[in-house]
Amino acid sequence: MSDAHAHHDEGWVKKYLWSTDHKIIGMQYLFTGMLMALLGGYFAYAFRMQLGFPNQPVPGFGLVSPNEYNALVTNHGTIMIFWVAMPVLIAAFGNFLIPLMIGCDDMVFPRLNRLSYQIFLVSALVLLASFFVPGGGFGGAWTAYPPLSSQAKFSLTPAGSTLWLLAVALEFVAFLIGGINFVTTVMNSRAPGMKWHDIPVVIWMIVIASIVFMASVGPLVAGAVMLLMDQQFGTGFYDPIRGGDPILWQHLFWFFGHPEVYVVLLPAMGIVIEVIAVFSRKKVFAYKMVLYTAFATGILSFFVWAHHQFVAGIDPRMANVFTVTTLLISVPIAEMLFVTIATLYGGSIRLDTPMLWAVAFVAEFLLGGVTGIYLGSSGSDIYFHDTYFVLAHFHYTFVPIAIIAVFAGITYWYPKMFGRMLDERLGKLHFWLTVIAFNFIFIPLFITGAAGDHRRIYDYTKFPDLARPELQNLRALATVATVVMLSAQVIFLYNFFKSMRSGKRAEANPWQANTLEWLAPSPPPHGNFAELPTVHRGPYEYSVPGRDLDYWPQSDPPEDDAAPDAAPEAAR
Amino acid sequence: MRRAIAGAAPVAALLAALMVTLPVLACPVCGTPKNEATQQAFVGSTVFLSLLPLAMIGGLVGAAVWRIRRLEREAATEAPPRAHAPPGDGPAPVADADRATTR
Amino acid sequence: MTTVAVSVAPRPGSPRRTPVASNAVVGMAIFIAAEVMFFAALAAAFTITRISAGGTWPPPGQPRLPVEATAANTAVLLASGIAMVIAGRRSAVHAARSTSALGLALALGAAFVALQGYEWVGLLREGLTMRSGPHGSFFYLIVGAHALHAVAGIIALAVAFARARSGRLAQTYLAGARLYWCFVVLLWPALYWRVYL
Repeated sequence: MSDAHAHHDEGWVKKYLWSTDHKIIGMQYLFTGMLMALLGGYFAYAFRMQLGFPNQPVPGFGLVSPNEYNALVTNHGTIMIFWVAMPVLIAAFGNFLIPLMIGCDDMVFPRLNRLSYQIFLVSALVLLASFFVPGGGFGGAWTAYPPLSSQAKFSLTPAGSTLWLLAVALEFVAFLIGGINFVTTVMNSRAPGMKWHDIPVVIWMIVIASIVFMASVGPLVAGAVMLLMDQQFGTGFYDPIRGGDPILWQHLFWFFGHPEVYVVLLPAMGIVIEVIAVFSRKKVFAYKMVLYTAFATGILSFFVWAHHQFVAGIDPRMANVFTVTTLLISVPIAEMLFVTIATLYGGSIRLDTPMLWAVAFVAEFLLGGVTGIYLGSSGSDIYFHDTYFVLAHFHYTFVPIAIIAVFAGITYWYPKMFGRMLDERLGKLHFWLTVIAFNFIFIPLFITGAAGDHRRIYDYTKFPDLARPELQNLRALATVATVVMLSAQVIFLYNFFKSMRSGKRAEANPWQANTLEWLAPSPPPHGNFAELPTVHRGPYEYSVPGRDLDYWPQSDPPEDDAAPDAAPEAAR
Repeated sequence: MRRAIAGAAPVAALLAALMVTLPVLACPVCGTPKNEATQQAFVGSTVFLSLLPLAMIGGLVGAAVWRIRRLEREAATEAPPRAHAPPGDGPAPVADADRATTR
Repeated sequence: MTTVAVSVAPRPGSPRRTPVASNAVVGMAIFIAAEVMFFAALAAAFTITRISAGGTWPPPGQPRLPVEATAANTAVLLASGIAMVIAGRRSAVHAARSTSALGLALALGAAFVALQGYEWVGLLREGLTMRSGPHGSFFYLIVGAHALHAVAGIIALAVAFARARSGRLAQTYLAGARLYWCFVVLLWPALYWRVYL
């Protein structure tokens, strides 16, 4: 902060905790998300140990009681989705990247932005508090189906379930405010010359995801208010004895719950496409196709959610319709994956750490997507419902989204965020350990799931059919792999914090990328750009024939001999 | 537009055909005897809730496109080059007003 | 250092592009879309519960809602909305000219909430509470959620009114407040139709 804006330097609290600067807020989200990820990982370690090596004290936790087990599983899911995937993928990257990539100095509502993070922080603290109230943390699964969630006599957590619900609701308010900010900023603050088709894919994806989120979150908030009243005020919205209907909650929950999957998937896909284009030194194959498939995904995402209820007693006619729509939505997603592969094809690929993560995303997400077809068909879902097959399936989608793509993004933008380069050797070691261990966790779980392992069982030794050694060995293998994967993150944390102090200094544009954020110094000062840029071409003009450099930043003025605007026009 | 409708028609027909299937009791909990009126209410509210966001997003995007076009027309009737366009920089990139629709 | 030739806007800080709509209006429109989904979900949940109950609504033994009095109250709220639209039109000419229309919108809005509260007291006396079955639960939930939104709108109107009197009312603030108040006003007839009729 040594430029003209130096007079903005204030105390530490004012600068890092009370800032309205989008970059600082992005970092706040990122670090809170990382902290919560550690907690979620620790929970996974504890309950995986119980499953792999049942009824033995877990080092670093102690003996896992059934109630603790339920709370651990529930909060692992909740934390990883709402306090890791959402804040990191949408809020952290959205806040950090949007103003930089569209070439403006800050969000349009900076104070709302700060408020958004503060509400988010409160929501995280409320969730943490819920573990320490009498009865412990909520244990009714992250989907919180009533009556387990609505009545203390079933959940055994009279205060924990209410605090959990409150935390989730607060978190939605935070992201609602954040989403309004994102969409308005991209609409109104783009750099001069940046047309709709000059916006980088990742920004489009964050915007579409925000819109989908805001359009789908209302019903869940409504459902949550009703659940809160059932818990605390003695109403009977979900109590069939008193004229309510428990299916109603599932109806409202999944109306949000499934679009939520695409809310986190789209930004992850955007990050991956961004990284793949840069490290293949090639134009994104079919930019407009990516855009339109993202729109199609957003639209279709409102029509697939009832596939979570195939065996919940919904109308079979509805189940048929939702089978078709569920299989339909794999078309745009498959198209996006094909686009990444087509972009890779014939490129001059550089296998730096971000690229490794991006390619791993494509490979692993593909497995997650393909196994989803069995679950999307209402017939086969009757067998697979609530087994470890489902669990392995959605971890094969969510881990690529919330872990692999996030690492692709962090390793790619780290030089911009902190002005230093990460250590490549440690980065690659971390990559291989994480990805290999990840597959060793969930491929065994596909097998145990197909063999009949139910998701919500605390102790398989009570089930002779499932306690057979060949299945128990697979569970133990998955547990060992979990420990390996979690330990590998130590390498990342070491690399992350060490490079922040002593990494190689990063140039403004270390990857030779085109998008506007690389025009700003690394790290960008308050106000981002010395002078606000003007955009002259699309974001992916790599290896343009007849140019010396194999990249062509968006802000470079057109060369004199070329007709202005002609090159991007022809290349499209 | 017409092609899009032609493409969507078979899909819609297929979805409509699926609605007339009867409960098959292969799954013990799939055909729980709820009364028909409740089932209809769930289907109705599903359709309503699913289409409402699309209608609203479509409405907002439509309104934005309409205003963009109007701004473009107004900009076209004004003196064409903007006052603060950088000289020697070709056609003013500022007055682009999002030509998403013209491409 | 792989710096690139930087092309810059001629005047940093000059107006960058003509926005399609002001930030306040865009932000408020998105917020309202999310709110519409919230109320739509409440209405859908209520409809499902009501149809599942079968037979008559309200259920036997439950008090009847004051349909007629609320119809009159609906008219009060609609009048408030019209006053707000007029205030917006007038402020386009001059901010100070919107004061009286704003005051009227504020008074009518407050009257609506007060009359609703009076109605609630009557219903509570007749024994309709949150706990007396889905009829009472949904009634207080939906109407109460709307009332909270109305109170928030009234606070926004009061701020606008005070600012207009002292001549500090910004056009963007009024535009955002007007959009929100129109949402609160236009939402009510739909809820009235769904809950009362």
